[in-house]
Amino acid sequence: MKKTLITSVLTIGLLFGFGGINTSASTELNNDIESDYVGIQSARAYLSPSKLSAKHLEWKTITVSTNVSGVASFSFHSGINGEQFRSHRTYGSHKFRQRWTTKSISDYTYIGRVTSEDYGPAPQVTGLAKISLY
Amino acid sequence: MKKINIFSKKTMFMMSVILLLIISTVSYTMSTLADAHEQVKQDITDFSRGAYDILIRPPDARTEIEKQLNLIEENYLGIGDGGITIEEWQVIKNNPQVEFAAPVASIGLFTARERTWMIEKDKQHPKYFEVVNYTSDGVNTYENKDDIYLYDFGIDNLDLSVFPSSLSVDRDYLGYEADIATFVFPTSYHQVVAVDPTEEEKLTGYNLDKLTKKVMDPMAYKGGQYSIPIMGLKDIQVPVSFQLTIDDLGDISEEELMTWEDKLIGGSAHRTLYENPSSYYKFLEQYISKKRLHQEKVLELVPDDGLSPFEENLLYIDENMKLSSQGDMLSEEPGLLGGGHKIHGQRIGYRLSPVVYDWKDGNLSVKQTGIDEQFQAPTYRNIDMVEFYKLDEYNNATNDDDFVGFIENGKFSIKENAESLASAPLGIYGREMPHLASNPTVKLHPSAVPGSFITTPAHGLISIDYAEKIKGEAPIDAIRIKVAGITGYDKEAASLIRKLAKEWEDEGFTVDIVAGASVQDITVDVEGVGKIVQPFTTLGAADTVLSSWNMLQVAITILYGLVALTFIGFTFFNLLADRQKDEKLLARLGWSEKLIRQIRYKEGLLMIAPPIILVTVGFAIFGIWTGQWLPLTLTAVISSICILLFFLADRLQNKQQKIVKRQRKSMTFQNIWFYRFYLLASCIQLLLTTILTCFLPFFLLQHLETTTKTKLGTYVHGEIEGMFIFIIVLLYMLSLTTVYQSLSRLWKKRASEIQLFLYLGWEAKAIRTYFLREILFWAGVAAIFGWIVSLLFTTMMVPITAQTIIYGIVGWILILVIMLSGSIYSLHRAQVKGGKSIANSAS
Repeated sequence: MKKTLITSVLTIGLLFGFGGINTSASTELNNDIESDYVGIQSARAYLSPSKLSAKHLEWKTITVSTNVSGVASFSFHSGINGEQFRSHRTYGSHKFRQRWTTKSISDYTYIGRVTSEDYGPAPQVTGLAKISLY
Repeated sequence: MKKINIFSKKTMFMMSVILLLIISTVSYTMSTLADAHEQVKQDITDFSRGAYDILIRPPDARTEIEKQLNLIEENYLGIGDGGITIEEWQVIKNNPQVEFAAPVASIGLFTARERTWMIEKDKQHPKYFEVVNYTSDGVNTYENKDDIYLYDFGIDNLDLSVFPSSLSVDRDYLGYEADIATFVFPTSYHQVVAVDPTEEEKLTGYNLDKLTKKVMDPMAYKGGQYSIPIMGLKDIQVPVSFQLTIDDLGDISEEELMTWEDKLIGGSAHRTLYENPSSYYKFLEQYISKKRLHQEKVLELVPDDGLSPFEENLLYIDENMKLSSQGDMLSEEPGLLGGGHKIHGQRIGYRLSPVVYDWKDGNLSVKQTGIDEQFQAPTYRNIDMVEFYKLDEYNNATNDDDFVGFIENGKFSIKENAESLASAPLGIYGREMPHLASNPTVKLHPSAVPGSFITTPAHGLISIDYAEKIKGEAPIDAIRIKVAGITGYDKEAASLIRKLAKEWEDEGFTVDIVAGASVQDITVDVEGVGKIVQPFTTLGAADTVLSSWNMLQVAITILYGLVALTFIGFTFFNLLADRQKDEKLLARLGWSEKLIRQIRYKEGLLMIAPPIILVTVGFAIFGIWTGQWLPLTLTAVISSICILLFFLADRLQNKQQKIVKRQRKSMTFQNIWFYRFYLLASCIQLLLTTILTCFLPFFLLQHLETTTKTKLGTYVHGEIEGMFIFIIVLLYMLSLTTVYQSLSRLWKKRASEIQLFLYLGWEAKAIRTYFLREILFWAGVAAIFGWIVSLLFTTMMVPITAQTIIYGIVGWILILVIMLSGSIYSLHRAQVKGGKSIANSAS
C-alpha cells in the first residue's frame, strides 16, 4: 500500500515536473519560474578547456557546449571585472575567443553558461585561467 | 355709467408685457442660477475626486515652486530622498478610515540593461564600421563625441585582423568569434520606483502581482537568485539613435601584413593599443585608414518605442536594416545572433535632485546647471551617483545580499489621465510631455543624458519590499491615501478629509488634500531650449471652483434682483405720478377720494394680475412637465414684491414735494434736492451699474483666471458661461433703461425751465452746461459710492492691487461718460421738442 502511494505521488510529481519544462522554455517571455523547476532540468553545460594557462594578451579559444540538442544560447564571461557576458544563439556549442591582461601572474575564473530553448538553463560551469606576464 | 380708465389701454398693455417679462425672467433666472449652482456642485462631485484624497510626504517635502505657486510638476514623486518608514506606512494603512494607502519610494535612475547590438558581417569582404550615437530632447539633437570605429579585415591572424578605436570598442566587439559586428547600445537612464503591488492595484486598478514573483534568469548575476523583479513601462521612448557607416576595405597583401606585424608591439594591434595608444593611433593613420575604399553605406537607426530598457533580449539589425529584438526571431532558425551584456549594469544608480524653478515677475524659468561631457547636452539639476555594492576580484558582489539588479517580469501601462478634468496626480505615471510654446506639435522629452528638466514617469516598478535594501531605513517618499466611506467631493467629504489630514499633519508629515486637483499648462522658459508649455498640477482645485461660483452666484443674484426691483418700482412710481393730474381733475369734479383710489387699484390690478397669472400658469405647467417647482415658487415671491412695490409707489405719491424755503449755498445742489425723488431710481441704478462694472467683470476675470487655469475649472466655467453673459446684458439693459427714463422724465418736468432759459436767450451750449453740472454731481456721487462698495466687496474676496483700483476708476469713468452722453442726448431731444413748442407758441 505504502509503495503504491509513494509511486503515485512520484508519478504525479514527475508529470507536473515535465509540464513545467514544457511551459518554461525560453520561447515564453514570462520569466516566472516554479520552485521545482530548477531541480529537474536536464541540460548541462561544458567548458573546454576548464583550465588554461596563457600569456598577457594571448588569444585563447574556449568552447562552451551542451549535452542537449536544439537551439541554445551559449554564454561566456572572462572573469574580468567590467567585461560583458557574451552570448551566441546556435546549435551544440560555440567557440569563444579571449585574451586576458596581467601585470604579474593572475588567476581568472571564467564562466560558461548554456540556456537551451527546449530544456531551459543548465547550471553554469567555471574554468580557471592562469595568466602570466610574458 | 361709462367705465373710466385713467391709464390708457396701450400703457396698461405695455406695462403688463414688461411685468410679464420681468417676473418670468427674474424667477427663471434665479432658479437657473440655483440650477447652475447645483450643476457646478454636481460636476465637481463627478469629476474632482481623483483616484486618492490625501498625499502624505515627509516633513519639509515641498519644493520651492510648490510653496510659492501651489503647483507640482508631472511625476514629482519619481524623485525623493525618502523620509517615511515602512512601519509608519503600515500604521497609516491600518487606520480604519483609510480605504488604501499606496506608498511610493523613488529608487533612482538606472541605466538600461547594458548590451550590444549586432550586424552580420560579410565574411568575404573586410569592413570598416563607424558608429555615431545621438540623443535628442525633442528639440535639440546631441552627438556623442566618443570615437567609435573599427576596421575588421577578417583574417585568421586575430592580432592583425581587427583595429578598434578604443579598448572599450574592442571589449564590446564579438567579431573575433563569430561573423558578426557588435557595438554597445547607447546608454540611456530610466527612473525606477518602488510601490506596494496590493495598494497600488487599489489605486490604479492594475495588477502588479508579478512584482512579488521571484524570477530567474540564467543571464543574470548568479542565475538571478539575488535579482529584483521589475515591471517595465510599456512603449517607452528610448531617446537615442545612432548612425552606422559601413565601408569596404581593400585586401591586404602579405607584404603589408609583415610590415604591420613589424610595426605593432608584439605584432598585436590590441597590445599596441593597450600599451602605447599614441603609437597605435599613428599606425592607424599611416597604414590602416588608407585601406578604406570610401564606398560608404550609411544607416540611420532609431529604436522602436517598444524597446524595453530592462529586458534581456539581444539586439540586431535585420535584413531590412532595422533594429530588432531577439524576441522577434525566437521562432526562427538560429542565425548569427550574438551579443554581450553586463550583469552588474545596475550596480550604480543615480539620485536626482528636484529642478529649481525661478519665479520672477509671474514667469517660470529653469536655468542650466551643467553640461554632459559625452553629448555636450545641457543638464538642469544635480545628480548624485550611488554605488549600491562593491565587486570583488572575481567579479562578484562582495556581499550577495547587497546586489542590485533587475530582471524584467512583465510590463505595465498605467497612464495618468491628464486629459481628464481632475486627475489626482499619481506622481509617477504622467506621460504628458511638455511642448514648445511656439509650436505645440514639437513635444519634448528627456534626452539620454541624466539631469533633464523633465521628470519622466516611472520606467520600472519594483516592490516596496526591496526599498529598504536599496534606500535605507525610511525609503518612502509619499503615501497616496483614499479615505474610506465617501463617494464624492462635497462638504461632508471635504470635512472628513480635512480632519484626517490634520491628524497626520500633527504627526509631522507634510500633508496635502489633493481631491479636486487638476492639470494646468504653464509656460516655462528653459535655458538653451526656449519657452515650453509644461503640464503642472494644482492642489485643491475643486475648493477654488466651488467657492468661486458660490460667490458669483450670490453677487449676480443680489445685483440682478436689485436692478429688476428698482426698475419695477421706478416704473410704477412714474405711472402713478403721471395719473395724478387726472385724479386731481376727478376730485375737482366731485369724485370721492375712495372712488378715485378704487379706480387706481382696479387699473393696477388689471395691469399686474394678467402677467402674474400667465407666468404662474406657465411655470405650473413647466413644473408638472419637468418636476422643477422652483420657478413657480420664485414667481410667487417676485409677484408679491411687485404688488408691494405698487403700493409703495402709491404711498410715495402722497409725499408732495415741498418748495425749498431756505436758500442753499448752491443752485445745483438746491435743484438736485428738489428733484430728489425723480433722481432716486437713477441713482440706485447707477450705483448698481457701477458695482457691476467695477466689481463683477474684475471678479469674473480674476476668478476665471483661477478656475480656467485648471481643466476642471475650464470645464465648469464653459458649462455656464453663456448664462452669465445673458444676465449681465439684462442687468445693463434694465439699469440703462431706468437711467434714460429718469432723465427723459426730468427734462419733461423741467421743460418750462428749459423754455425760460431759451426765452432769456441762453445758448443751447450754456443750457447744456447748466444741466450737465447737476448731472455730473449726482451721477458722479452715485457712481463713486458704487465704486467704493465694489472696492469693499473686492477687498473681501481678492487682494487689492494697484490694478484693481485703476480698473475700478476706469469703470467709474466709463459709467460717467455713458451717463453724460445719455444726458446730452436726452437733453438735446427735450430742447428740440421744447424749441418746437416755443416756436408753435410764438406763431
